[in-house]
Amino acid sequence: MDTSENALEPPGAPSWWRVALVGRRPRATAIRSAILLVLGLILVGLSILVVKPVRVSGISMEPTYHNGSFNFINRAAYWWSEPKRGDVVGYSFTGQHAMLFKRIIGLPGETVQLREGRVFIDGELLEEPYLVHRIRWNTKPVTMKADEYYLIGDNRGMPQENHDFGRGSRRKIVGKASW
Amino acid sequence: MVKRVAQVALVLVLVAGGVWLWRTLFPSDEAQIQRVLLGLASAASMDGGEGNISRIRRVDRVTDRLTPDVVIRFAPEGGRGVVFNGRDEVLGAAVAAGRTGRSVVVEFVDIDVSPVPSGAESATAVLTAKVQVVGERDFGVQALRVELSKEKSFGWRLKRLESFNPLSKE
Repeated sequence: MDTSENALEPPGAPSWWRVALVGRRPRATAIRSAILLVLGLILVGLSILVVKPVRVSGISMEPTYHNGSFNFINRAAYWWSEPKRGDVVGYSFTGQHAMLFKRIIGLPGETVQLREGRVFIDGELLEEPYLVHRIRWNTKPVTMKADEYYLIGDNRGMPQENHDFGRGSRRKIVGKASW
Repeated sequence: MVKRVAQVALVLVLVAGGVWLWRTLFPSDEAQIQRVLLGLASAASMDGGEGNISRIRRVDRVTDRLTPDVVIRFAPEGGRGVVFNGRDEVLGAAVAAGRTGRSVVVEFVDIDVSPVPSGAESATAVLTAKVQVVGERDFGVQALRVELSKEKSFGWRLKRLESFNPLSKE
């Protein structure tokens, strides 16, 4: 005697486990799976190309970014636009395994000078709300070339001679910090 | 059809294998320079517990990669600059560093060798050195510019190494 379940199943119908595994139309399921796989691989590939995880080492960006904190450099940020003042960027040493993590304060063509710890762009005082510590750094005025930016850390409370800052080339800016 | 695909695949594998074999047996100058620099970083890394014999062997591996008149000029940002003139000075410093008993890992990353014309006997490269004292969380990073010369019996050797800052204050 048939059970009531088997009695409802039409003859030649696929078993329930096969339906669960490959659907009622295996060919359509295979095509859908292949499309999803390719899209997934493209997304993973793009994210690897675009987003670079970094660990901040050092105190030159304190207090905005702490020593040992993690961030992501978005390499796509400047594909269609140019870096802006205030952006925090990754700047390459000789490649992308190690980068400087700095803020852009000077744009191409501008003249930047630090006087008594304050930044002057073309002679105008730059407001820097992100600064907490500031000691009396002084530099000579420096004028950026057409492809240059002025990069500096947020920690101006440390000795000036221990802090990497200055003019940098546009082509060595890897991308923008994600937060 | 299947046979044809298999034939094409076999030819591709053979070509790839041939290229790999050729490049392994006859590396380009750029590849040889990369190998010398990676070997130098590995030899400069030290284990705090190394004995006298292994220390001498390691220091030999460093100095083997240097020309006798090598100049090393190292001036990190904010740090005290040091200059070593000649292989003997480097040897003395390497032995002294080995005696500190600290384990240090040196890595050369992002090595960019300028194209070397055929038959050239000198070459330049830039690289980033990462130095980490084992057990400490932070590491030091420094951009370096190196100059190498090719010697008949020794191959490529380091002639000059100097640190530079990626950002310019001038």
